[in-house]
Amino acid sequence: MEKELVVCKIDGIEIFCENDWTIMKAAQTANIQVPALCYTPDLSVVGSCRICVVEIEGETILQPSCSTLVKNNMVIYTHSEKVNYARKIVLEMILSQHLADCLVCDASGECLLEKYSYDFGATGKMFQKAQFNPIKHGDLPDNSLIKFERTKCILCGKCIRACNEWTHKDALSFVDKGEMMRVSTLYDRSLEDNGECIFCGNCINVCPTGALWEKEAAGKGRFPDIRKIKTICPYCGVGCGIEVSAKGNSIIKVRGDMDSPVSKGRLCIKGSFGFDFVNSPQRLVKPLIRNSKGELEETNMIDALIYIKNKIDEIKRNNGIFAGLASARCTNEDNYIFQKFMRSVLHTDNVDHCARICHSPSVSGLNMTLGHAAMTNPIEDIDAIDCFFVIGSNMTSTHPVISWRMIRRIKEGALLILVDPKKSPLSKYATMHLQLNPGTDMALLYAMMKIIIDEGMQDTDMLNSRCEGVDEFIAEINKLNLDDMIQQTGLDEGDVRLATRLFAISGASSMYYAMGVTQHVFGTGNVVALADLALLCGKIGQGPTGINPLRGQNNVQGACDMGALTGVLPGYRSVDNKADNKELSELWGADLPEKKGLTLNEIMHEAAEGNIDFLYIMGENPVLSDPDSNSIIKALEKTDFVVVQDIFLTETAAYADVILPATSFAEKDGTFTNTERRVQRVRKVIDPPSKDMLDDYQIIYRLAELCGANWKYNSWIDVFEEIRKAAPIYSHIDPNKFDDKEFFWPGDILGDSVKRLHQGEFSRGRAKLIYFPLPEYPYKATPSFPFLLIIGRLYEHYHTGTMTRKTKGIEKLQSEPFVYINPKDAIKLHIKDNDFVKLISDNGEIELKCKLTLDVKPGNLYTTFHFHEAVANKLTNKRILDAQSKMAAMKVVMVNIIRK
Amino acid sequence: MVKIKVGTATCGNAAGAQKTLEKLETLIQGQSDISLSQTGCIGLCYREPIIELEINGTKFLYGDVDETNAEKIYKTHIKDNKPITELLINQSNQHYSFEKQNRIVLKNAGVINPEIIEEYIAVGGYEGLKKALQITKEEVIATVKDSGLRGRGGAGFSTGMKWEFAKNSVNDKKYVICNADEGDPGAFMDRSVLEGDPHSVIEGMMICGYAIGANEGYIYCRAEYPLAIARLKNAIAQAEKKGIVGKNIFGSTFCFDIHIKEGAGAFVCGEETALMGSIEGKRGMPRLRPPFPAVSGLWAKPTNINNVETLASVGWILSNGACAYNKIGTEKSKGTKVFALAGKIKNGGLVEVEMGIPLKEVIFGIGGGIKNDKKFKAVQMGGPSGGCIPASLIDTPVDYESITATGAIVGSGGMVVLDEDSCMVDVARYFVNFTQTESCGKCTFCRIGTKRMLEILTRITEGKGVEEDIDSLIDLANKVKDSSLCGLGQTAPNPILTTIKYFKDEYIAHIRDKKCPAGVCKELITFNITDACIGCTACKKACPTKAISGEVKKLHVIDQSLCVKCGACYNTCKFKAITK
Repeated sequence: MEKELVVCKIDGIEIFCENDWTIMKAAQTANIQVPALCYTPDLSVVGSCRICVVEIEGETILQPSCSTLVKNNMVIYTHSEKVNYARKIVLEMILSQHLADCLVCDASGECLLEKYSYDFGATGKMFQKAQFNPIKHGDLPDNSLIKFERTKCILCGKCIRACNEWTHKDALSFVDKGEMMRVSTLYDRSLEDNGECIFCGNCINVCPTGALWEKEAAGKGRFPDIRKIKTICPYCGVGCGIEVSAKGNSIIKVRGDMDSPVSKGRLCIKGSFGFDFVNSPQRLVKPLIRNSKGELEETNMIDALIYIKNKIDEIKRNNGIFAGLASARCTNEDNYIFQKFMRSVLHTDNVDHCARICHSPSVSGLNMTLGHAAMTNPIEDIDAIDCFFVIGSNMTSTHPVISWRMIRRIKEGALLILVDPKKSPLSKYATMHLQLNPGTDMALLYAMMKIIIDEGMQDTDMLNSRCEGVDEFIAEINKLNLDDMIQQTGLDEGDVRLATRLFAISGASSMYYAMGVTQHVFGTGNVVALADLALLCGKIGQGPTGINPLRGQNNVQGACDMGALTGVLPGYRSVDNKADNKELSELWGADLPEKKGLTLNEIMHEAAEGNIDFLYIMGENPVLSDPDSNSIIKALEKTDFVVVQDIFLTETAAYADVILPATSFAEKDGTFTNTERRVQRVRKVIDPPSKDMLDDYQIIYRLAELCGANWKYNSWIDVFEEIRKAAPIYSHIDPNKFDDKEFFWPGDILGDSVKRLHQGEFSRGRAKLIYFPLPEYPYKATPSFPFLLIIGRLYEHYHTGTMTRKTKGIEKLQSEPFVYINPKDAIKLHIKDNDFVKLISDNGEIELKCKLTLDVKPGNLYTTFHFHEAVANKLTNKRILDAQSKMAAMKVVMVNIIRK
Repeated sequence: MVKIKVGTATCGNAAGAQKTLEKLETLIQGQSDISLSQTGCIGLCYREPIIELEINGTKFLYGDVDETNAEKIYKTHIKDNKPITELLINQSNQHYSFEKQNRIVLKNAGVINPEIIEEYIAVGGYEGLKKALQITKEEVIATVKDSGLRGRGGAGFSTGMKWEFAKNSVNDKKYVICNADEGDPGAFMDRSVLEGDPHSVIEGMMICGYAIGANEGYIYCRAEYPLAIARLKNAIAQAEKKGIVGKNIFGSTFCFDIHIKEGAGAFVCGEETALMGSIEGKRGMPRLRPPFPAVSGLWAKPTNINNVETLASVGWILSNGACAYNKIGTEKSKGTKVFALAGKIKNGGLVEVEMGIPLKEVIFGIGGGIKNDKKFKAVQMGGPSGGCIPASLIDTPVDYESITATGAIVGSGGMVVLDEDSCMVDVARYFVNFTQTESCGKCTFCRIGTKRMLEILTRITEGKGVEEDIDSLIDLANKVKDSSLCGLGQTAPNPILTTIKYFKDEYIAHIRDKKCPAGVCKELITFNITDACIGCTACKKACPTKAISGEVKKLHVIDQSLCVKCGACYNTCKFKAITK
């Protein structure tokens, strides 16, 4: 429909609108509030509740404003007597079927039915009240997270639509008809048993009454005793907005923030329910110092800090070696202060964090080819993509909210080329699923590039005008043998060819990738090959196309931006670049190390050799998350002095000399930077569990002051103001304006955020095509280790489980680790579902239960690393590291499986 | 040469046509000069089972042919050549004359064997399609437009315009849907057409497909019509075999495939958007319009959806020309309309009349008046969406505008005739109960509004009504009418509004006097035995609860505490000694 400008008059106000606007939309632009029960922006319009009716001059019948389009010269009244009476009738009808009691309802104060009844004077006494009917109003079988009281349900159907349209699931549906219509599940089973519910909680979020509620929140508090604060979800890198409801010092419930530009109200199970950890009695509240008997003893913060300070002095006197691990879970301010402390007070560049074992190959690979190491495009660009190339990402589990947006686009007609050795929920949406052999990504990518060059599908404009190293690169590709590469991947040549053509020919193709690409010792090569492919086809630096590493943790992007990486100063400046070094040493008033220090795996390696004297770990749990767990424990034991700063006594903290209690995300102010480079405000919701507790940055700041620094920070804003100076990519971000402005890094010369990178020109000028020699395939099965074990993640759990496993409901859904095996292999090994098996690698062994599934190919196994009961990283090693990024082989490990 | 045809539509089968057929089969076994075949419903359902006998070119139509009568006809007429006049309905050399009817849609029903495509072709079938394929799409649409054909599903929208909208939607894929989800109580027009002349519907769909540029069609048929579905399947298979359905039809570039989708018993799926949702495998619930199906219909593709009767008219219009059709009828309502006569009428069955015929002609002329010569009270037209037309308006011409003016609707064509023994409040309650149960439950007014209206009506029929109930009913009915999402809710109050309009005194009698004038509402009637009782004991024997006592030849008495008001005594008494 061609858009035309039309003018209508609503309640006497002239409004200029487009002809495809509804009356509801036009009214909202003039700030006229029209009540609505079944309507929510971002869900399809059904027009069923009829409470949004308005009077249109010249029409006898009232029209629903959610679905009636404006016309030129339309005169509309949203609150005439006729309208208000009609609304009252609607409410009276609904109330006649509403059997709940507001006096004891959790939703009172937030309930729209209650609000509108008040607004329009509906008392529920106009009609005869319906009788309780066990089929219609009775409870469904129980589940552990979501409470569904059908006596309160007004059948607006929003929950059904959110389930279907937001998360692409069909857990809920209308059943039966007429008066007996109700919201139910398939065969009235419980949500846990119906096989569709993923407990994302979005149905609760859209429910206008209290029919759907968080089970654990019931009876814990309601308006006006609760306060709601908007902040950012502390789980994955998507950075969904959350609205935390708290009463006193307890978090009651968490809902998606409808105003969040990232998620528009959507959350996954972790974001909706994974917050029991904040108020957990297991939280650390007092600093602990290991006494001479080797026992941990409670102390107060200042004593602990003085103790550490004395130790620092002692090690400094002995010329000992310092090292520190920052945290992708902490705020930008925490990370900035941490690395500043390490570099300017302890004068060491041995500072790193877990990005090393997740996206460090992206940092090295994308920096060398494009000049910036981050997603090239904002998440919203998904809506403009024609062909998705998803490689090495189990995104429905790890980045659910982004995956749902992608699936929505696929349902609109976009193509999906999925490259994953294992079937995932995304497979059913894939135009092509290339189920390649694990770790053969580079062979596939080079094969694709060879096909592109053979068939002349490359974008010569892009190559000639915006790239360098083109001829050399093409010469190298020409030398490769296509058959050999395709054979290595285990794929069909026709499939690879078709996928290549789809990617190269589709208008807007875009790449999304994650750990499946990076967690190899040739991770940088993989990333560079991806960049090469995007450049070769011109699918980058032009509109919505690009190459997008999906970052794993809430602030892993920010931690990297802040320079919590070896050799990297804030804003991706180099320690060994003289000008950068000088500028920051002037800003910080201290000399900085001039040489690149040790990376995470190297620190641990040296520590295990007894070469590290002081290790400061802030908010990380390397014992579970890092390769070769046993060697990490050895490293911690061998290090003279270990400080762990965390919210729990983690597996890592158990080996510390001093443990400092930190505040959680809900107890601090600051900023997180999400995967799309969006800097978002984190707001304090509650006070820390003990008065003696400090934010991470404040602990280090105080320690630095004790060590003689003179930093003077009164609040997080002071730290942020300094970040703006230290990291030019953040210079345009005003910490006082987060409420009304979106901020991405970098900024342009006008101080506006740059949402898409590399438009017009690449960050490094011309993009560079780089050829990494194809590595010898490292994952060749041997008689002693005949299986390839892929290590990944579950939708329900996060990372090492320290947070998600504290929520009972989530823990009930996924309470133990499994290794997944193809039935073909299982039959050969006489393994049945739930049998205990032993996984053995050349590095260690674990025991866990086995599950049969067709999702993994024969010869492959799959497990996760969330569980301390079976630490998958006992199997991995860090003997060989990626030359550029120092990544270890954490994604795939060769193992044997033995039935116990 | 003798040809025997047995009407084996659902109405015939229900009356025992299969047994008649079997009987005739055994009787004629081995006689090569007698052929036996099946045909559809000829419309005279009150006389089923019906057989047609063709002897030397003369046709005899027999009614009430059970096994005994079949044998009788075989022996007396076929063998002895003596027609049995008391069973004979009609006799003709070529076509039966159906007084006051004009058969276009029903022209083949009861005439041809619906299971043999050659018979359809022999009577000029698929000529309309052939003709259509020789002219342009625009010309086809212009013909349909000029014919003045309006949608026979109920709303009466111009079929030609509907097709034009679908044609003007630009898309590489379009659909034609035939709505055969006939759900109104008392309506069976579509079933008879599908059972008696399935090819006419297929032909209409294909002409439509050609005109709008669609190459795929769906017939959405209610699963309660197994015979119609079987005949449709058979017809499609035969047409495919003949190359009439499929690729390059009649040597043209036009291709068309037809699928059948069986409904799952929801009345609301007769609503076009709900119907499309149901084909898509979703829960059948009406969607918002716009977008209209012509723009975004089945699987979001432009879709034209017409009712069975509409499509069955199209072939005739194409072969006979627009003029032949628009000559018939009134200024705004052209052509003929099929009605299903049911209720308290003598000649129940299907009739096809020209638009504009007075209601009286249909009910008293063709229908033969009221059963048992009782007093005509009203006719309920248009099913649960329609309304009651009182006896005083019996001269109303049957066309869209005139019927709508009375408050009822032409609808799909159900006519339920009510006599003096029908309580109008109870009739309204019956239909509202139907729509309430069949409401999909999506929008507030239809889901809850109908329930509240039903409660008030029930209250009135139980004698618990109050004076204000009538006003609140009217108020609520108008709200539901104005504010419901789809046609089901928007028309659900019609039975209430029309009965209040024409029979308000009955409502008042229920509320004020606590009396049901028609003696239907159980709570409001008491059975009493008057002095006319001669003590025959018939009522005593008939009473299921032993509420009647009395000795032979003496006055009987009813114990009101035991009486369940079943009316068995009332119906049994031959001396009109029982009053209610």
